[in-house]
Amino acid sequence: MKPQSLHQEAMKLSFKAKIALNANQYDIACDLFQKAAQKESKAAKFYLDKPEYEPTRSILIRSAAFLNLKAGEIKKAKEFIFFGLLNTKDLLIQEQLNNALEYAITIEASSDHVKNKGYNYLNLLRRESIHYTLEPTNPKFGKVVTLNILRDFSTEFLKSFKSYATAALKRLESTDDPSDLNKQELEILTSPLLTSSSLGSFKFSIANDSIPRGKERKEFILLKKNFVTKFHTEVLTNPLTDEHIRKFRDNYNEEELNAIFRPLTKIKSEKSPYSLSYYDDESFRKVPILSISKTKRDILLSKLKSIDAKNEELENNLSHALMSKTGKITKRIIVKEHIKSYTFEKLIKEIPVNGDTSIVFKDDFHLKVEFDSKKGFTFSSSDFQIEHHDSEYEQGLKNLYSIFYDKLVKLSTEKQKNDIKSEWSSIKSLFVNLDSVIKSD
Amino acid sequence: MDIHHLKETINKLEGPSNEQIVFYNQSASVALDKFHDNSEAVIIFDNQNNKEKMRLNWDSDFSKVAMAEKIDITNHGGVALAFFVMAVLLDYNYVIQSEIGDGVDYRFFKRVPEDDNPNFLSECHYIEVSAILKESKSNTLRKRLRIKHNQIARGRKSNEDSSVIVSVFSEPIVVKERHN
Repeated sequence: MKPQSLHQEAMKLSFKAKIALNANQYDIACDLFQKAAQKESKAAKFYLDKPEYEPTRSILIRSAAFLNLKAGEIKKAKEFIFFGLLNTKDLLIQEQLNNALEYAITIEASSDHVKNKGYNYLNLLRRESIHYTLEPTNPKFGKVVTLNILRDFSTEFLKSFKSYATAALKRLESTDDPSDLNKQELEILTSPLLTSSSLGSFKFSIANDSIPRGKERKEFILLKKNFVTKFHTEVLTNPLTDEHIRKFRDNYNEEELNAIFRPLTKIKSEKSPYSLSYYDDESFRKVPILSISKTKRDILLSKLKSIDAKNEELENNLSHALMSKTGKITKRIIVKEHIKSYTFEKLIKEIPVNGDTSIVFKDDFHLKVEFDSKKGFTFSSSDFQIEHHDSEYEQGLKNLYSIFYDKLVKLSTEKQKNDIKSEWSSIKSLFVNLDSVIKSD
Repeated sequence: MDIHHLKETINKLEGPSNEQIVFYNQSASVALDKFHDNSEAVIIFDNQNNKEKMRLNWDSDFSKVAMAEKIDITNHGGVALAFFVMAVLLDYNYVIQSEIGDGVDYRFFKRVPEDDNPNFLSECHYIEVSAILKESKSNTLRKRLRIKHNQIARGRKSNEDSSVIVSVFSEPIVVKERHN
């Protein structure tokens, strides 16, 4: 047997497999990797009982381990990995075999889909990943990140990412209506995959699933490929110069800008409890993601106050209050629930008028408040047939008071009409000072 | 000034298939075309601080459809320039690759190792290859050379005959430094 010839043949097959892989021809790539792995395994086995042939032995064992991994032959790959780990003295090869073992274990524990694509799928994902690190700004527990920080970050990150993906897909479909979008495509595009993570200051990598599935359109495959990188470059790390902001305002409507950037203002706030960085692929340097200044935020989001609160949600907290012996009360939130829609009645005692006067109710008045994540807040009273929508609660309530007052003025001016007369009398009975305020106004 | 063509590697280097050398050369062509017109440039080959200028030509007349990401073009193009300097300028006419996690590594020979030598990788010149499209404040040639030397130092290859070859396409320059 001539191991050198076998090895060279294996490497030529491996190159062809990589070309097929780059062309998304996974079945052909897998077949070629299997042929390469068979040849390399045969060559490597020749060296198992020949420790005198270093470094050739360790190099071919490593090569056989990786080719089997790429061929989806996990069991065979592990045999070479363990042999190499036990027998090679080359520290770099040991490190590489440990990485190979991590991949092998991950693939073994994976779903059938990942098993079929195996190493090449995971490797592709990792190669296309953006690597981030999340660190607390207050080193209460050193640089260790809490789950609360992780939850807050991922919530805001996903809000922005999904909004950007939806905007991209809408442009691909040339539609303004999100309901026109293919739900399956939207789900794939808006589900970045966690491709690695480590503890402490939370280091993690994310990528988009980029392999073609089923009958996906070519345009969609192109869009989803590297979408995480696109978001990272165009949105998350965008320096937001005047020119960048102008381009965003030209290409996105205010609702989209709000949905994409408002969550990022939380992640990139100077007051944020964590800081986010990423690793630059070319320089291997950790680069902090800079905060968005108030000026830039105001320019970017200045016209958004009147926009409905799409993608917003309510938070329902269950707090536990504890009184100490000294009478000090400490409150802790023990359950936090995010709510997409909710209806409740707000009891109001008065309708503020012009800042210094109020129309006061005799008893608490029940105002209906409905929240819907897609519509924002709706304030209404069926008795007075008034209704107001707003994205902000406080502002919405203020506007409702104004509408309420206008309605009362209108009714007052029409009170001489026969059909209003009796109604006006019952309306007046609800208030302490209706006549005096409306007359004096 | 000497004049060379990137495709000279095909006739000078054995080991990889011609298809592989052409593929890498095409990546180098795409990277070089970003900064230089008419498929030619004066390239500096810096071998242990001995700088030599030469005119380098390359083929740009091929379909770029299959050309992948920027990082692949840079990596594969870097290998093409390393193959060129090792085979054409330094007479290493045989290379043996071996599989690693995200690609392959390269061992060069001045003579083809005997086919029946079981320890055929023992007398080689190991090369750690890297490339940069264009230097930036944080991504410099010097820094990349240091990173590659450190990678060699981590393995057993630190005791073996080895070099790093780093290319910068915008200049263009290819620097080869012996590790030991």
